[in-house]
Amino acid sequence: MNVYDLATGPLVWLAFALCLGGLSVRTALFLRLARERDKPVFTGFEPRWAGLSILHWLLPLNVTALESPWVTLAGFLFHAGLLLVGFLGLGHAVFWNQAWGLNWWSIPDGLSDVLTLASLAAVLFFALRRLVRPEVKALTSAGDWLALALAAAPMLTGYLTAHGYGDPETMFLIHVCSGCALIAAIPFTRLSHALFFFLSRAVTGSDFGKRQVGAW
Amino acid sequence: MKRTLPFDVVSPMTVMAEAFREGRLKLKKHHYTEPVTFQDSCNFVRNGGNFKDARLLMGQVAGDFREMHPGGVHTYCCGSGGGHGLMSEYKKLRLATAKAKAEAIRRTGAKVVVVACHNCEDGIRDCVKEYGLDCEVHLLSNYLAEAVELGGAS
Amino acid sequence: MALDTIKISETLAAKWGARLGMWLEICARCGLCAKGCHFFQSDPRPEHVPAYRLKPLRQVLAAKGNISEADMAALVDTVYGTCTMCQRCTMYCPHGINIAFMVRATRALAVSVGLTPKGLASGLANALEMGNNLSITAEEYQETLDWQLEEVQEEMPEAACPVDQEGVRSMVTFHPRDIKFYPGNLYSYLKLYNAMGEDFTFTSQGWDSTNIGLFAGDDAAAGTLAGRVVAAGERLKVQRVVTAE
Ligand code: SF4
Ligand code: SF4
Repeated sequence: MNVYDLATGPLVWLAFALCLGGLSVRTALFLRLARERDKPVFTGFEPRWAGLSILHWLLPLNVTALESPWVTLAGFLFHAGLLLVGFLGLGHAVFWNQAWGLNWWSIPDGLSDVLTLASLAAVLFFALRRLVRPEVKALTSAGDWLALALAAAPMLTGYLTAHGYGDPETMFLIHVCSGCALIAAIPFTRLSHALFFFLSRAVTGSDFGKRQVGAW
Repeated sequence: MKRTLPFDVVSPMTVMAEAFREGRLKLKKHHYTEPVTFQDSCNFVRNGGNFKDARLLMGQVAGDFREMHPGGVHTYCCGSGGGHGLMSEYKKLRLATAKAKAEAIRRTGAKVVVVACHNCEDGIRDCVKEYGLDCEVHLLSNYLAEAVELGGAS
Repeated sequence: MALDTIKISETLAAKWGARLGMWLEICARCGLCAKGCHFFQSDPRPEHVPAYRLKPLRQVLAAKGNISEADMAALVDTVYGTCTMCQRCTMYCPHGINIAFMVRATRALAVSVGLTPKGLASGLANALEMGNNLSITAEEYQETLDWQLEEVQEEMPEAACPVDQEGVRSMVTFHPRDIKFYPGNLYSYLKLYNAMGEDFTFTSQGWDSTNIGLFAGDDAAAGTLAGRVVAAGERLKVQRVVTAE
């Protein structure tokens, strides 16, 4: 088994196992802690308001979309690029198919390119914002840079690989490894908001919905 | 700390709005003519979901009612919430940060700000004074009491 | 007086919960909440971004409660001085982080070692001792009610001011300042409740429905204060309790 097989075989397995296993454990721990000492998480739960709140923020139907349109736009482009190309990019789709027999939609390479570049532009925007805006700068910590780097690395190397920049094999290897790092890091870093976004919005959405503030 | 109580807890605004809707409370239509705005208290709108009651009552007695922007569930804090009314040690900062509220009031052009919360009453009074707004501040009950149509119901 | 760091870590452990941990973790430090806060909108300093209010809590956590007096003083200034717990910022946060909830938890740390800011602490002490936060005596209270009733009766001769009447529909409570500084408010309440024909009563005990304990982040005190109003409501067997304005 050469490095290439190792990276596209066991490493990808490991990354997904860590990600899904980690998220399951974290969900279980959250629910247990909530049951033991944060009862309102359950007693206050209102499915309708939780659902509406999640919806209003998955779509730009919220006050922040109006007040901070540029950050909202960047946020959407960033996540769209990451998730769409990550799951549905042609190269990835072929890989899921060969490795795990999964068969789903894929998007053409041209669109992937556009999405990836837009997403990278958003990363750049976020990075600049962290450096330039004093109030964001003051909040920023090392973990925030790590999160940005984790997300940017596979997108950048994926783009470079697809367009034949650099040594193809090395570039591809870095792409796979950084992609695996991103996936594996989700449950253990701030990226856990992939899960907690939903839990948090459910809690707050229920809370504010019940008080008739609405799914703002 | 939450336990089920053998009674409901309601705000005065709700009681008055209910009585008004049921026709028990008679208020003189457009008793006041000067421009007036209403300070939604964080507590009532964001904790209690009480937005409409105040509009119903104000709409009846005020001939020239003006909404504050931001207002309703987006209302800015009067500055006196969270115990700030009692903490003189932070008064300077409190007044400095009442600017957002002061501008919201100024934009309405209102001559009267009606408040339905004692905290807000202090907060808005201080805010009006600090920023030289040409406004009176009245408590909702007082504002309504003066517009009661006596002999209407009993 | 040395800082009782053991007490701080105990309180921290007692306050720990699912929401607290989640919100500390997922705050993206994006600063979008700044648009929500009147502190930042009036005076755009980094310390006025709502997410900044989580910093002291993070710091205490990292130090496992073992923090210096200077840091604790900074904590007090941040969570008491720069937040009114109005919850506006939560509406602007993509993750729906309830900063006010976190601030309340952090205030509890200060309370546990007796660092509640003075104004708040003395109001709270009055409320616990005298039954209201302005130290109004039972006589003063009743006199003020009688006096305002007389005034109302000039306009509405049939007006009444029932106190401690059992089994009525509404028990009406006050903010202590209604009695002490603004008796005219009382006049308005009496006029309105009489005009409405509301089946109401005032109460001689547990009439202060403001709760400084909640502001202070002092759960035990908040429980005691709320308990008094609840006891009054139960004693008078009313259907509803009307809070102070
Ligand atoms: S908006 Fe929410 S996630 Fe962003 S910095 Fe503020 S609290 Fe944190
Ligand atoms: S809860 Fe505190 S931080 Fe949030 S908007 Fe209100 S004052 Fe600002």
